[in-house]
Amino acid sequence: MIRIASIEIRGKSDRGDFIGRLEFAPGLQVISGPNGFGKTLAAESIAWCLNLETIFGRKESDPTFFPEAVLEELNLPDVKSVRVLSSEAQLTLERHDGERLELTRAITHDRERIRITRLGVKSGPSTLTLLTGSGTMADPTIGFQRYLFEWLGWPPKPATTFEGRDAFIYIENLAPLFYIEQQEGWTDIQARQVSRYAQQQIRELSVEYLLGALDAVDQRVARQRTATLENALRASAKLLADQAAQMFLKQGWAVDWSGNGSVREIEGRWSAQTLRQALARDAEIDIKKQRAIAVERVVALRRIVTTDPVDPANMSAGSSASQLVVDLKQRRHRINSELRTLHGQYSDNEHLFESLVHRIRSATDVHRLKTTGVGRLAHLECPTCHRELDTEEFDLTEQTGPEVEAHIEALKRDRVLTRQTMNALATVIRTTEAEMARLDGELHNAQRALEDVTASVGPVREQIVRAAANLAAQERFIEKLDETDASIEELQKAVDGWLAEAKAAHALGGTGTDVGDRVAVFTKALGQYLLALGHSAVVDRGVANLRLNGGQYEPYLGHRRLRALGSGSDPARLVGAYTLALAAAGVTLKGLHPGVVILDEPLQQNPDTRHLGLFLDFLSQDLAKNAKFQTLVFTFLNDDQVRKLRDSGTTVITVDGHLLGPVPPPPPEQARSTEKPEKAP
Amino acid sequence: MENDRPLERLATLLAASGAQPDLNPGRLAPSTIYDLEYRVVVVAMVFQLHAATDRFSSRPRIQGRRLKLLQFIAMRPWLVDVIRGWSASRRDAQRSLDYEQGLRRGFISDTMHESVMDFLVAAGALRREELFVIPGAKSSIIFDLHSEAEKRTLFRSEVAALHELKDIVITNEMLEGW
Repeated sequence: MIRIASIEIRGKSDRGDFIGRLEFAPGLQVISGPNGFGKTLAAESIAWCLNLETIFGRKESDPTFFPEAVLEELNLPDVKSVRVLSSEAQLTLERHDGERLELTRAITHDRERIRITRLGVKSGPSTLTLLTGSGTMADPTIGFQRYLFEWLGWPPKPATTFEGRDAFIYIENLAPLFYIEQQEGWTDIQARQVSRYAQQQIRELSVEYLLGALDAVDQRVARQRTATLENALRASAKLLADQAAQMFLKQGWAVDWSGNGSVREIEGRWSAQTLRQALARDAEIDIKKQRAIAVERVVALRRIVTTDPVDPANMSAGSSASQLVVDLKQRRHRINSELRTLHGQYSDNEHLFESLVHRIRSATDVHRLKTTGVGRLAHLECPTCHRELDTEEFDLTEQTGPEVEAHIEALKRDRVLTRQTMNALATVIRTTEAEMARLDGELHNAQRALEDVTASVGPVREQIVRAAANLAAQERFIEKLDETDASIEELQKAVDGWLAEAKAAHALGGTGTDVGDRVAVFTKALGQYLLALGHSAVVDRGVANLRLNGGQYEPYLGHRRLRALGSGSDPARLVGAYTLALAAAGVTLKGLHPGVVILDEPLQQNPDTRHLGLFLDFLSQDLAKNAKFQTLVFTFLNDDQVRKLRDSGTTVITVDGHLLGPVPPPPPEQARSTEKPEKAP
Repeated sequence: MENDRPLERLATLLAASGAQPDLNPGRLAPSTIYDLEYRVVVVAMVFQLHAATDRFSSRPRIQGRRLKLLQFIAMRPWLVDVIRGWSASRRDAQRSLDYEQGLRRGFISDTMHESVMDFLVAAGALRREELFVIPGAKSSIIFDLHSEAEKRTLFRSEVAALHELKDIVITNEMLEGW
């Protein structure tokens, strides 16, 4: 836990040095001053020294949210429009063990560095300069964010971006839960965190982190990584399935080895059987058996070609070779024609599917049109006789909402049927294409044999050539079988690798976390703060039904989102309560909350004195005053309000006149003892 | 009247022959293509996107037949490619004649469109002026419908089809079904 000990803004102008400083004690403090007196400058300087400028919607190291007074021109009490030459801010943090850290960051020049002075309780001061920026989280040597996390005792926690890249939980992600800036901080809880650095579920991660539920953080990130990994696994499964389909199709084997569906589904299918088993099941092919048969044939054919006697009277070699080619061509022609028909049917079904998709979309819009009343044509009348037009006279009908719903349901059923037909057709096409590929191979061999037989002279030669052609075809077939066998082996290895990866992906997420208990403490605190701040919906209905929805930590009252309930100023009350309750729970649970809450201009969020009074009442309650964390409220109170708060025991720091002024001269004895005055920054 | 319940009659006949018919009238829900409100919205979108002023008229106008063809395609966006092909083949009389007889027959015999137009003319939303359709005294019906549908992003595929049709040349011969 830490507290903010002081904030100091100082600089040089062409009329000399200037300075402004606020010191803070532990607990609740209200810093009051009129607009333009430098309250916001102080609050923004705290953010600047913590490298939090991005929560003002600025780029890193962009100081343009600061007022002109520290950038260009300053009005001093005696002189107006003094030109600012340089300026810097210094934030002093104090840790629970008493160690202090001074963070000094230039506003006008050299803004990418922060000078750090560490004032140990027992050791002397040490100084170093580090680089700012979220990227420095990954740099343990010169990164400011990493240094700050280590000093705070915050473990760096990795997160995943929506693009699947690695990131961290940065200080900018956590800060909107304890630093409510005046512009947009009050509009919604953690409103400014949305999409920052595009980490997935960063809202949830930040709450869990500050509550100290680090195992929940780890498990959430692991689940995200599993999801990212699963996307990659699905893509690689598709690729493997395509390779398998190509390989089998090349051989003329129709095998169903699909890479569609979820990772679990694919895993289930692929681990149930190997590629060889699928080949045996779908195409009834056993490569070893086929090879053995082919080898036998080769031996027999070799015998015919070399040693077996040849019948010189047998004239059938030429005609049988020719007949085989003719038969194969006829079969090819028939299958080709079947394929054309099948492709035509598939294309028709694709069109039908497309039209169904469109019709469902249109009908859904018609349903919206009818249920929302947009475009209803009720009470159309004739412009001349003013008689209401009867649609029946025009042979027209208007359908009712339920009729359109029934139509949508019917269309959806048709869509399912069409999809099933398309799937069935795709299977048949795959089988037929495989048959075609096999037939092409056979035809190629038969044509080659016919050419050889035709070229030879005499029946003996014809027979030998025919047998030799068959022998060559069989040998080629064995070669192809061996190649395919090797490919299947290789692909099976890839499939096994994929299955191992899928298994590892499932094992990523852990189980068991105490986040539920921590959230219960947070919810209880939230109820207390909502009541204390006077949230109208919670005051009316009580906190019995208050809950934070599972896993997202969004407050609900019963079934309604609390953000949507109550008066116009209640959302700001909800933001305040959420922020303070998180700090209270974080401190109670010894979580990672820094123990500091900064609320900039909470009173501006109230439309009238009655609502404003609710917040002032809260500041004088024990819940606010006796909190075990530091609360800094930057606002403007009139004299009566200041007196009232002080009477109730609340600390109020008033800023009279502008925060920034000339540097006062040193006391005489100090001036004498300092021979070489230190240069102004 | 027996003819009013043809489904039930058919079921009785089938049951008499030993069949076990399962009646599900929900599946016979009429298509939204025959819904007046849907048709009016589509006509409004066609008019807004395709009607234009020219040197003969200071009010936006569109040929009645063109309106009929465009609304027919808008309700069936998968036909945009078909009409594009038809348009491309318009210089080749024989090819053009062969092209998608189904589409020609479909839009020419779309009698419901005539009824919708009669209704809109009677309501004063549109007016017929010779071959053209122009806004009527109560044309706000049309304009409001279109802007509401646009605001609520309804009927996006119809609108997309109508935008695509802007780039396709549709000749008078095509409008007559040739």
